[in-house]
Amino acid sequence: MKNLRLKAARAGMDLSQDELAKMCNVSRQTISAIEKGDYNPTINLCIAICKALGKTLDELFWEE
Amino acid sequence: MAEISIAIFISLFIIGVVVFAAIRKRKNDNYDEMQELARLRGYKYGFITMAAFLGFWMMMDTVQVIDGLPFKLYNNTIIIVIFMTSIMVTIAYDVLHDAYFYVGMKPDYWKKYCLMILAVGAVNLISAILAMRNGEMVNSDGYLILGGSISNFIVAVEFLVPTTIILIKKVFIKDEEEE
Repeated sequence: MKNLRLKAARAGMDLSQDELAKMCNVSRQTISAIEKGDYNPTINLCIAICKALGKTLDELFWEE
Repeated sequence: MAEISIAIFISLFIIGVVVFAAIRKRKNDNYDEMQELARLRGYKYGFITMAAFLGFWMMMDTVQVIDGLPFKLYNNTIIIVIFMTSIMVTIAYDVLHDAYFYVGMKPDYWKKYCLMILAVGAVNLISAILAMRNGEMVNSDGYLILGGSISNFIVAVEFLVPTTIILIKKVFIKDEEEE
């Protein structure tokens, strides 16, 4: 399932996938895969992404 | 004597792999979690390939199909071909999932990598073809020899397959880029 909230949060902060990837110390392809729903990140990566975007885990990763 | 040399060679090879892996692990954590997962799957599929081919070879040997070939094969030739095939499967999977060195990570790295690998592969392929044309594939006993043209051919395939996959991925499979 696509993670549109992540994509929206990233766009809201005017960050590219590459920039967010660098902030989280992962590759751009990983961020892209997470947004497309092709990869489920570990909790550590989820936390890193939330910290980078200033959001909570619920806001970005909890299933609606 | 040959067995001793092979045992020494294999031992040194294994030691080299372990040392190399230990050094790389310390110095290079550049694969992220998704890439590590992709690489693990690559190793899995490579292992499955090796097991499948070994099983197939044993079956072929049992029903003596191999005896019907126009040339004979040393066992080590078969083993090495199987081993290299499994490595190729691993590399192909890693390349397809952007988990092969820096090929998918740095923007133009793939061009330099492809150029270099293409050159090595092409040289080996040309060498293999020339050797085949000179009749250097089979020795006087009718065995397909691993040295010379066959080893060049194996090396050429090992280098050209990843290059081809990288080129197909870059040219035909468009990665979803930023808007």
